[in-house]
Amino acid sequence: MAQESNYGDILLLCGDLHIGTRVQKLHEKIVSALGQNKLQHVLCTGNVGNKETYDWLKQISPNFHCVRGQYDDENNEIHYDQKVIQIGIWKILLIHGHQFVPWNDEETISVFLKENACDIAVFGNSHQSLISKFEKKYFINPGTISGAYGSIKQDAVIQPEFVILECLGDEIGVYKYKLVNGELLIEKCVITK
Amino acid sequence: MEEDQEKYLEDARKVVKEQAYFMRASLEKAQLKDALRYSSAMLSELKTSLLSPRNYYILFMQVFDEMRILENYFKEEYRRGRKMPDLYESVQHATYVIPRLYLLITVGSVFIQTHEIGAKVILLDLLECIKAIQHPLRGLFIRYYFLKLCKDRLPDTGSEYEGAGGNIDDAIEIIIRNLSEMNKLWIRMQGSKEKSKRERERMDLKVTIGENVTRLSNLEGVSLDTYKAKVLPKIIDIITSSKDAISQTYLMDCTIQAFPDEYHLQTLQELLKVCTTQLEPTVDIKNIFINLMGRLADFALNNDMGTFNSEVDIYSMFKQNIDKMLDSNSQIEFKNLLDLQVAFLNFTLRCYPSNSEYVNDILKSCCRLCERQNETDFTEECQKNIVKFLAMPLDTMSLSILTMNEYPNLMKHLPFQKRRQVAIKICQAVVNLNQVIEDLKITEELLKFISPLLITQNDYVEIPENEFEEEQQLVARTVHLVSNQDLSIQNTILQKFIAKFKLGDVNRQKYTYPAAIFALFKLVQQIAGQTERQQEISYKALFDQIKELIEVLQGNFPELALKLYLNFLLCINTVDQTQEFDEFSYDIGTQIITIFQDEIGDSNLKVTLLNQIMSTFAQLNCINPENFDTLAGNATQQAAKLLKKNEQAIGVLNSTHMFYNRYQKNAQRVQECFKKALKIANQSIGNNPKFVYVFIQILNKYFYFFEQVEFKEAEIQEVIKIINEKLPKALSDNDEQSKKIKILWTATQELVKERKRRSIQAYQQINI
Repeated sequence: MAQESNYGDILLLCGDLHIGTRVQKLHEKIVSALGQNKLQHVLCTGNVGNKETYDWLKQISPNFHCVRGQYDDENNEIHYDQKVIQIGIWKILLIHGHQFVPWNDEETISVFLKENACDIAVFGNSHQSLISKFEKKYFINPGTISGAYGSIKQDAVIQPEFVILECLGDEIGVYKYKLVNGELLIEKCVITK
Repeated sequence: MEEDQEKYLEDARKVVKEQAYFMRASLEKAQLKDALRYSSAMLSELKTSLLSPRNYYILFMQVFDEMRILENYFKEEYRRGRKMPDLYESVQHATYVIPRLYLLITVGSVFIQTHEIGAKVILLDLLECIKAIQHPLRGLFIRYYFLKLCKDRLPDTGSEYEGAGGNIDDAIEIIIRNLSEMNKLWIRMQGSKEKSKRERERMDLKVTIGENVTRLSNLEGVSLDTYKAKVLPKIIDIITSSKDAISQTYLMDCTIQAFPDEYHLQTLQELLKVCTTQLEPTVDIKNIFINLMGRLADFALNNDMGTFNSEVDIYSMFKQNIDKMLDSNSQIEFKNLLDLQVAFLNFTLRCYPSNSEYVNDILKSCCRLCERQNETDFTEECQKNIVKFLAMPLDTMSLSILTMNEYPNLMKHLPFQKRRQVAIKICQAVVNLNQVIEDLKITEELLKFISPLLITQNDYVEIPENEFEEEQQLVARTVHLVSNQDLSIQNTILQKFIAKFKLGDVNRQKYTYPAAIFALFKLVQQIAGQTERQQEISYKALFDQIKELIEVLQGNFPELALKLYLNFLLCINTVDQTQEFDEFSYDIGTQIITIFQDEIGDSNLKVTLLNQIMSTFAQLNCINPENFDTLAGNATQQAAKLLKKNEQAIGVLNSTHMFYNRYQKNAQRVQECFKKALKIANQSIGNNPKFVYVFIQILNKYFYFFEQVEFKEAEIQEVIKIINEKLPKALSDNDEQSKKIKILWTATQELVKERKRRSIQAYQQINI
């Protein structure tokens, strides 16, 4: 949906929840912060974990997009391995990221971006948040919103993270949220087309 | 019968309407004598014996409204100078008793307002007079009329009638007498035949009785002390002397409703004693208790808990009385006693939120109660109550509840389905409250209680698949709450869970094992993150155990096992910097390839799994070079065996990353991979021009490694040449695939241009 009316839209980027297998539930602070009907789109990188949480994600915004993580095989509501989402003049490629060889590599992901004519890649898998630019393409990893254990990172305690995007025409405000000791810390930056 | 009733009522109402019309007309012409005559005729309709109580009530209300007009006229008469005593006297000329008394009450009410005689004198006089009506229904209503008319004429404290007209004691006395008489008449309505019909009829009229109690509670002069000393004892007297269950129940309820909770707190002992020892056996005491407890709990929560606790020991009072009921050989049904216990527990949890001793005591009496029953007494209702009983404390209290020794005693009375419900509620409480599981003893109790979910017990009942999945996920989530500062205790607790999980069958292990495995992965990281190593847990022991668990899953769930093995390798990789576990890791890697080769049939699945395998291997630093080379080589071979040619080519191309990454720098292998990929690609391009896509991918991969690995320039130009040759044909039909190819090729050309511009040496020679 390519509409000028996307101006001002707020997007939530999140994923890698693994509710049940790695973590018991989302932190209340995050649930209440996100459940306030202020989101227009939710983009989930996958690996949700259980139906209850999936249903919650579906209803916190009018537009929910989710792609399949390697542990989402039991979830038959997720149909796509990758999805292209148009927000204003930006084209976002949503994909879990376990499919890439190697993982987390901007140049490798660039090829996917190019062949789909997309500007931003939103992916997960590493449980480590990341916002970067490589040869005119942007890469955002919103981390794990539940603080689920991820084998790639070396810490036993992983902080829950997610990213909020604010679409402002040919700019996007990027807000990276991290839950530390019960408080949500925010880092902001801006990306331009 | 019903139609007859309707007709009687219609007839009576018509007469009332008629006579009222004439009465009003006479009043307008100031013809009092005539008006009184008509009002008498109207009131005579209330002499009837034909109407059912409900219909009599309807008639009564119609008459009542008309009498207001007359009352107003009397007031006007007084203002015009007519003497009240005269009026009082003249209405007594009415022929029939009923009209006479209604008129008397009406005049009396106005008379009181004149202050010529003390209120209490008139009121007591009226009370005496209406004793003449002893018919239950008619007597009830005339006293109701009395009550309504004298509403604001009582010598209440601070009212205009206090003083010469009496005082609060008189006011109380008058209402109590009225209540007592009305109650007696109400009870006489029961009669001896048609029991249930009479009961229904009585219930239709209960508000007339209740109004007396309301009136008492509205008196300004009824302070706490007055209530305690004068009002309550009298009400109790009426209640206990009546020996009628309906009356007793209703009056107790009214009293509890009408008076403030502070009063009840101060008179609780008295109230409870009456309830438990002095009421008829058929009275549902449990409801009265539950009512009281509900109100007091609300009161406690809205007010200072301090006063609640310090002044009166509410809990003990209730407990003593409830226990008395339990122990007495009364005919109170088991189910009702259980209801009561549940309500009491709820009350206690609300008012004394952290008092586990109270909870345990209630548990004990509940157990005693259950022990006395036969198997057959445990109906569905009773079982539901026991489930509630076991689950309620968990919402507010910690898991320490589980260590109360009475808990398992209660569980054993429940059939499988109910035990399963309790188990689910326990898990839910634990998960919802984020209760940390850090104590060994509590863990053991917890596992005992959630056994219905963990193993197939003797009286197991099948459940639908989605419910089974939900319950197992709940168990899995519980595992993640295990945590302790002392990691060896944390491990011991985890081991307890795992021991139980081992006893479940593979359907459960599908959910429980991964959770346990990830908990163990996390433990490994926690041990690695410690600044001082606790020596009691060895990596080896944990690794062996994890391997053992994954192996169990392998049989039925090979894909899951493969993914778990991949995670396992990464876990070892993060803690093993010195390749101490090289052989072990190599073993795991080999297992992965074996499963991939032998157990994964679906070709699409193979492609995505192989990518994951390669990406995982590309992260590893925990395997020695020789072993690693073997593993990576195996993976590459697997790529070459994929179903479709393009998948093979891309697969082999991807292998390059295993050989060249942060830890591996094997340029030779990389070059070999390119050669292999090219070979496969060249074999296929002949038949299928769209294969040019693969060549473009290969070209991009060259550029990926361009600055690290040496390639022959000619090799690359050859690829470019092939692309340029085959491109037109590939793009000719303009379908989805063509579009992709075009976009990618354009982007690739852009990439070279851009990097040339940035003066990156290697690109200068590329002619694209």
